[in-house]
Amino acid sequence: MKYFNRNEQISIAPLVVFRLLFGLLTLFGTIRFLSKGWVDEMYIQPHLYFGFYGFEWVKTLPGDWMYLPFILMILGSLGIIFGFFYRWAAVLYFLSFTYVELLDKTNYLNHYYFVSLVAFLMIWLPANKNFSLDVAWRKKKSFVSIPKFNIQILQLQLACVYVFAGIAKLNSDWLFEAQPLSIWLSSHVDIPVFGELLKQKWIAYAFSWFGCFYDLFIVFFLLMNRTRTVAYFFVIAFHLLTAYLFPIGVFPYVMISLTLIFFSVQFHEKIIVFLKDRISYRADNKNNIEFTETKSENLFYGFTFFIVLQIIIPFRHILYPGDLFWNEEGFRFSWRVMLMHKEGLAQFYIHDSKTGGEIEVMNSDYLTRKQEEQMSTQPDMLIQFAHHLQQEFKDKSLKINNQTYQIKNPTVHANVYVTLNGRPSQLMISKNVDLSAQTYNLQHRDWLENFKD
Amino acid sequence: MTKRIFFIGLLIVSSFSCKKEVEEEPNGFNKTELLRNLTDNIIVPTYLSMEASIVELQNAWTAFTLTQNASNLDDFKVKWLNSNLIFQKAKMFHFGPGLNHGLRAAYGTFPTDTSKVLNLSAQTNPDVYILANIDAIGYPAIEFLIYRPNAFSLLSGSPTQRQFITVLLDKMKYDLDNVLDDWTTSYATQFKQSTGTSSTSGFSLLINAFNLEYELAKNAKLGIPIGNQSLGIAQPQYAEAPYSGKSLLLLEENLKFIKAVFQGVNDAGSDGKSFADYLVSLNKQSLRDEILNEINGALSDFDNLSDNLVVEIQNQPATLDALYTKLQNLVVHFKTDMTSAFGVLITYQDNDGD
Repeated sequence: MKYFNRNEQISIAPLVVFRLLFGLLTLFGTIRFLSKGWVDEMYIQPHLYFGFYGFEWVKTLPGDWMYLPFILMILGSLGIIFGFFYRWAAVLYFLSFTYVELLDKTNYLNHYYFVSLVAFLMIWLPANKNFSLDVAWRKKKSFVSIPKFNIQILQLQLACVYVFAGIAKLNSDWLFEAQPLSIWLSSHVDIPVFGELLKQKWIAYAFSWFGCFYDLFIVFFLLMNRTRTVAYFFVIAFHLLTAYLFPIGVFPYVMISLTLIFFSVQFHEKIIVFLKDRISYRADNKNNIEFTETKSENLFYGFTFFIVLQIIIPFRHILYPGDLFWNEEGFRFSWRVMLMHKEGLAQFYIHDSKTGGEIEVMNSDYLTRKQEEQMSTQPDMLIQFAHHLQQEFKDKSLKINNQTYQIKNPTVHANVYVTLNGRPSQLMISKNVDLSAQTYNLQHRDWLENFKD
Repeated sequence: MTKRIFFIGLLIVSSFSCKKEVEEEPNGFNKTELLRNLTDNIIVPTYLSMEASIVELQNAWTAFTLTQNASNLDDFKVKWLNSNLIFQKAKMFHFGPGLNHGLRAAYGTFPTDTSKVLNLSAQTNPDVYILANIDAIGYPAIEFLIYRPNAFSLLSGSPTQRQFITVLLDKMKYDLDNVLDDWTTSYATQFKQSTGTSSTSGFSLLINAFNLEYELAKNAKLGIPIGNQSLGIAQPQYAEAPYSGKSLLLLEENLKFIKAVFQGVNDAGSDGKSFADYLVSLNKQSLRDEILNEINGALSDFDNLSDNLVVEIQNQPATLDALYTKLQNLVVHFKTDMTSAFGVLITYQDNDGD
């Protein structure tokens, strides 16, 4: 297949533009995160964190030390932008960003996962081999062209995001109920002029179907020369609209910027030439034409393995029985964005076998509002919290009416009600289940109530 | 080509939507109207009547300090209850000015710390403005002083205790004047226009305050005293208003107001746009009816209960448990079904809708 010819060379310009944009976006994202005070709210204030399965050993740093990884992210971003000690900078950014993301699944966002993946790819890409301080100051060799697969891996990564987001939308709630978009759009009823329109059911259907079509096919339209310009116009319009309607942070701007990787070599070369002229940059040696490393072959197979994983992971949910949206088994890391509107109420109870008495838990004593909100609808977080409560109350002595009660072997139960995509709330976990006796693992959770559609 | 496919998509879409459109009745609901109704007919009038009640309290207390007799004290007790019942409404609006001036905690922190109250009320210049004394001021502190055994003779014999109540009432008037001032000068206008779904919009603040108020009523006024957080062992010492024995009356008033706000009605009989109407405009009449049924069911339980929670913990624990269960069921509808239907965001951090 021509597209995947490992030896084919292409101009390095698209990769250099990508490097600049990615570095600017991560720099902006980090500064924005800091300026909103989220480090304190999300990584210093909470009393406990919901680690990812297998990564619970990743812990927060004490107190204000949590600002350190964010400072490292800024340094990493600057290194990426300027191509200065580029590979170290990319490693630094990838590690500090991914470390923070692994701390608490409360804050999991698909676009954070995307940033982690791209940062990981950036480590291996020769994005500093032209128009960089590594060339200008550190006198590293510069190159005009690189093996084409270095660009294609980024295109494929972006394609994964869109296509899987599109596949995920092929479900009856999205297509035939226009949910959850109906809920979200109708809440904008008071927007001037368009408000009444957004309340209309047909608008929600139009948005749903167009969104699904867009996600499934936009990459193909971006790949073809004939349709690229029109397609990119849709990219801008689509993402700006979502940025206006939904609180999705920097994600729209990430996608608008990074999809430029689908544009032609000439387009990117114009940008690079323009930028070089503006700052009178002349360090690149035009005689070094082709960048080929002996490691290049290993890298090609490494990338292939990476993409194969990317294609398999979103399908892992087929290994689980039951409803994906309800049980959320194999839900994350699969580009399932904007698919669900869930609200839950989780009332936990500590049962003391000795006295037969019960304690109603106030979730807010242990969790931030965001943690409580996320935990109330996600089974793996519910079981993690149950286990935490069991530890909390084990051997605890309580003083009630001047009498001391020693709790020996507490069991944890919960009544959990959840509403999914506008349906009436229904029971997700029954109080009869002893949650402290259930293990937290990746197997199917048969103690969840079945979803009734 | 892109365009053509887009239009084909739109065609398919519109064919789907035709069927649905018939169900819709454009009743012109908008959130601005809801916020306007809440502000003009409920929030500001509630604060105003609360201010009037505090002025009455101040006058009644002046009368008592001038002429210390039992009938003047009884008159003050009546005004205390009246004012506290209005506070059961006003405390819901724990956002904007109400939050900034800390009205809820300053007026209603219970149980009051009686030794702290006695200590402060023995001083000539008690500091009632510091946070450390939050559990020795407001309605609960006054209640203790006027309803404790031998209250009349104790108050008659202590000029500093009489002065302390004057100081507490002055502070209540001062705080409330500030809140009212903020609402009427600028906040009301800003609040009415803030209809978005972000967590800082007026509408989100209102719905979150509504839910929190409901949970607070359920937990603090009933759940904790009947022992739901203490192995089922009742803790009557955590009951509100134990000296006057009006705890359940205050809870009932609190719940009635939650229902009134849900329906958008006020005491004067005005009925405007509300959460209930919003649910109807979203084709969720059944949810509205269910919520009203449940809250009416819970309110009817009060017919069989006296005003005194401490007494009922002894006499009718099962009735209280049943009431609590009803209130708990209603939380599910408020916090999941209703909040979800309104598409309100609880936190202001980024999300990607999953």
